[in-house]
Amino acid sequence: MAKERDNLPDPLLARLRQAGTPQRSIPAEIDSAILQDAHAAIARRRRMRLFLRSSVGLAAAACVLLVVGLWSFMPGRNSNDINHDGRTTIADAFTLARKRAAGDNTITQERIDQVAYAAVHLDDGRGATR
Amino acid sequence: MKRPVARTLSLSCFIMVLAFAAAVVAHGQSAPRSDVQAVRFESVDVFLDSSTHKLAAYQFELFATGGHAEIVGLEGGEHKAFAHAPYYDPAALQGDRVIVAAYSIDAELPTGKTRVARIHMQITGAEVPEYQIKIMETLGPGGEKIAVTAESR
Repeated sequence: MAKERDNLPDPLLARLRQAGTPQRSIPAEIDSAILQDAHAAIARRRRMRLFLRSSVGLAAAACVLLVVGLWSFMPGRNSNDINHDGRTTIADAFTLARKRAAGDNTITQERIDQVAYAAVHLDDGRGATR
Repeated sequence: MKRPVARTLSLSCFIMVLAFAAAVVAHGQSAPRSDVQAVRFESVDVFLDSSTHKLAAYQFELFATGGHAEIVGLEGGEHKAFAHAPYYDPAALQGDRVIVAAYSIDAELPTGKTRVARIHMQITGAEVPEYQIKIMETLGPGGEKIAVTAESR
């Protein structure tokens, strides 16, 4: 290959060399503008990705809150049913009182009374009826 | 000379007033009114018998049948573990039904038959009410369910 090139006439070689080099150089402004556009596009894409990720996170958090909220307000849900037997009786207050007596200071006497009064409440729909 | 028509009218009015007054007096002096009924008070003692088990908590429903009975007050039981007034809904006062409950974390707890509550009733009329007890919960000191029998008198 090199041998064949050496055999070419000099003017032809000069023309060939000239054809391989760019005729015009790209101005620095255009180069810079293209670079800036590329950076902007990358930043846009990054922002979109971040937005989508945070949206998914927020949506998941909202779903969790919704489920917890619905669960709390479900008709059968009863925060005074400490032993989870489906009804509020003195057994629930007694459970709390025993825990308090065992040293659980997070349980107040007011909370125990609240459960006990819920147990004897006449119109809660869970109390005994005739 | 008086006009006869005016004199007749005056006399009629006077007679009517007299008749009305007589009727009022007669009504006031009549026999005692039938809607006024005798009122008396009585207390109902509620006993629970847990046999050999220690009684640490109870809940029962008491209601009156027959007669006109109203709950007017509640007090605790004979054993010191249940001496304080039990839990009850104040809305039960002036009614004939109440849910009563109490617990004790004392070491000393009653066994056998013990009076756990005394319920004061106001009875109106001659009919004698009957009291029924429905046990809702009875527990031992560890929170375990225990069998009891109930009695009121």
